[in-house]
Amino acid sequence: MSLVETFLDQYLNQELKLALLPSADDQSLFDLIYQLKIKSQDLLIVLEELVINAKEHGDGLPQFYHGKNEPDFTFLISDRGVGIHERVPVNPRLSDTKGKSSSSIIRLALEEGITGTGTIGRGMGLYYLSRFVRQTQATALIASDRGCVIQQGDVFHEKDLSKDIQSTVIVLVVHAAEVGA
Amino acid sequence: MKLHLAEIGGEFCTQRTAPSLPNLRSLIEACIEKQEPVEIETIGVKILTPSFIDELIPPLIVKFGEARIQSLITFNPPLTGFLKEQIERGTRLRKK
Repeated sequence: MSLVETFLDQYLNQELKLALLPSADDQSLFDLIYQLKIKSQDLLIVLEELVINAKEHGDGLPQFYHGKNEPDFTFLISDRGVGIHERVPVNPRLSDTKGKSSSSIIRLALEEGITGTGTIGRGMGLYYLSRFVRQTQATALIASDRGCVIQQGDVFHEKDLSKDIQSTVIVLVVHAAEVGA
Repeated sequence: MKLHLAEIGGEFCTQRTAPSLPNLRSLIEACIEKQEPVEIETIGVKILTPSFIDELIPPLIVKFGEARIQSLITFNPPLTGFLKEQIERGTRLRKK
């Protein structure tokens, strides 16, 4: 089991050893990045966009966990809203999602301009997450419903989970050196 | 005209639904129509996101043209990384 899968497993089993940010608001996120001495503007942007996504599409109360696992940092964002597999096919511009697995739809959501709203330009959170992972050779896991995609650098793995996790969980593991920490 | 983003939009210019966006856009549009340069100063803004930039600049490029916007609007300090990229990306997706 990979590190990101271990974090997902711990989260689902309520055994997560990462710290929970008391409130996933802008100021708390900014303070955390400052406290961790992270200088990457793009990482802050990716985390903020993911939190915005979780607030907009989730139940409005995303959970944001973080922790240092030398030489890396791990971030986990979760929400209990409608999952990616249900949001993306709502987009009237996408006609080829019928019959696709949750993992395939998550993989599609990492591409440019793919969003559940159908509004031009949206769908930034997952797109920039994927770009960031590629640029910094980080690792991300995106799980929703029964689907799961793991991205390591520019390599993607699609997996089917054994059960519906009834939430959307994103795990991002970044190299401290890559983010200026 | 110099626009202090932190004064208009606050320290966190993050959401595309930010109440400050319509006001900011109309201030910029008024300058563009008069061919007046606009400098958007982002000092004091703690988080600026592609979502916010996307709602602000690409619609102006679509309306007034890229050359006009590029010659009249500058950011201080200049946008970098995903923020800079979103201007091109947001414009391209709107023209599709």
